[in-house]
Amino acid sequence: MFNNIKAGVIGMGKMGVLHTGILNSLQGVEVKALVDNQDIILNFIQGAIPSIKTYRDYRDMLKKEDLDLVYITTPTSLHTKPATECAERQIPFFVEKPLGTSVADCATLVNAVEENPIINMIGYSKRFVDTFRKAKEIINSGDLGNLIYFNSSMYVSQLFTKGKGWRYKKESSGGGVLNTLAAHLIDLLLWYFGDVSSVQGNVKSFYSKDVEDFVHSYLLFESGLGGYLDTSWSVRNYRLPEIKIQVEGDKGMLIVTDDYLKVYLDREGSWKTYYKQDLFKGVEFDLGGPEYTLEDKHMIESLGAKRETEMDIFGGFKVQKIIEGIYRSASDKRAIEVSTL
Amino acid sequence: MSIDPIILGHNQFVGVDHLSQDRARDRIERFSDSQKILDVISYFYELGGRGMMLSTHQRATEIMKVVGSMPEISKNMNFYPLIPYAQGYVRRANEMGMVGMLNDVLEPASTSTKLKILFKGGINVMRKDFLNILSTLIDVELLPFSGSNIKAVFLHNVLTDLALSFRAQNIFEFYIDHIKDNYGVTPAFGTMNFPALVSSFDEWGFKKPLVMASFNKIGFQMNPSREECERSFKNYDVDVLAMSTLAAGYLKPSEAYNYIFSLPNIKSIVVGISTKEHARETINIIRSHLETI
Repeated sequence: MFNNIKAGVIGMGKMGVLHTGILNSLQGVEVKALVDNQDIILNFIQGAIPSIKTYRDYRDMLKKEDLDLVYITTPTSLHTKPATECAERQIPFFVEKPLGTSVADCATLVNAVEENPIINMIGYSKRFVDTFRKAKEIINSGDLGNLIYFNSSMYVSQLFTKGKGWRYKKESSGGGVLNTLAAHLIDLLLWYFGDVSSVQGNVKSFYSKDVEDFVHSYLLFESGLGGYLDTSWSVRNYRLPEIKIQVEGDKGMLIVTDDYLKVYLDREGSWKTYYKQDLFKGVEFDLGGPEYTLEDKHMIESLGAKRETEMDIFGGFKVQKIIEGIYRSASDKRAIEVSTL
Repeated sequence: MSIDPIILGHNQFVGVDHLSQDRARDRIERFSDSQKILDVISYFYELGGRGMMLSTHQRATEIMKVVGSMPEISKNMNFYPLIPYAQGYVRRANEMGMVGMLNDVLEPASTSTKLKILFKGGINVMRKDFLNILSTLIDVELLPFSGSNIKAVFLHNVLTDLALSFRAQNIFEFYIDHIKDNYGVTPAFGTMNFPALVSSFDEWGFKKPLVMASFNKIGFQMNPSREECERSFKNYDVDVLAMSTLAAGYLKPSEAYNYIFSLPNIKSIVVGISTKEHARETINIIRSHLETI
């Protein structure tokens, strides 16, 4: 159907390795070239997979290789430049979340893609987790009635000492737990509830010097729905990053996590629980969770069918505005209208 | 090569749970008391269990100490290390970056391992030679098991599947040789992609591999599908250690094992046990099936 897609991957951290492995195992795709700037990683790849070309600079790869698709899996501050260059060269691309370090950082890229409308995608992989997808279906069905209130959280036990590496420097990460991790949760909320009109937030740093470790925030959607988002990477007992969203409507409610979805409808007067096990379908090749395979397949299939992806950088830009709004609200100590960002 | 028919898994002790994280937290709380771990292991042993799988989670050392305090059990129990504990690497990579993570991982290497690295020309040479990194990582991972009865060493599914996605035959060959030559035990593999793995092994001429993969009635964690996994199982000469047989506690043991023992050649099952009642029920059902084979 769409044979011989030649892909390149920029940035061989955890997500770069994961996507390279998945792409390589999917039918009709071949990873031709990789970029990283650390010798230890380049040497490892040259030893393990000699068939893949390696580069130290992504511009060399884009110039020398004839690629159909580029994955950008660098630290956040290095997302928008290569993505902009891909757009200018008319090469379809996938960029990991979040889109950038700030609204200003993303502006050039957004303009470049508006001028060069190419197929692109942002890696908000939670949309491919079965439980979150099922919740979207139920919210869209109207079974819950008019939505009144939500609360939501994303926690992981990750940081209990001063962190090292790019994630904990604001200039390379754009922020702490909110920009690096809870961007996933904001994307789900936007997917479920539409556009946000205003936000308020509080942030707190305890372990990190440069970025925040705790965020409490309130989001008001254009539909009138309002609710809370709470996140931290410095709470105990969360071995894996874990999202929980509770939605109350005038006809029912639901609670969704990465593991299960519980729905209560007034008209039925009983709970219905869907576990991952109830919703599971096998994937072509599983590496690190079926959602990543589904995500990469969505990119590949969109490219093959020459249609837009379900989550492009314009959606990623909306998430970025909410994040910036929460940071600004925390420093200005007032509600921020998203339209002013 | 024979492995124990019933192997006690470690997930319940270290807070891994594929049904829900809420249940994982309950179990972490219960098993934060080492006596509770000891109780489960003793009861498993009394019921005739002689095999334990253990990942190299930070609690592994602690659990091995608990076992070491029971001389009879530690003498008769066989261990099946599962390396590496991938989530630990992910967390450390998130915290310190890839290079920082590698340095941190190599830190507990014993003096002799460190000397070995020095003789080979130090850490900078090692950085240029990825097989050296791999062998050191494996040796560090297996440190908590020194002096125990090891029957097979399982490569974690994340690593197996990553190498498989690159069709990196050389990495598999290296792992097989390293485990056989240095530990004299069976190299084995966890996978989430059973059909893809066994067909590649067949192509590469790896004879009768020992593979740990999910097998359960509802096809949970069976990729690309239950049917494909069953077909590969029938068509290839492979020893299987079945995991996720209860689909993470979603299935009742009786219905689950009726399915498992309807498969042609299950050698062994890894079970997660957290209470005495559960241990008795599970082991009795598996026994009754094993006796009829």
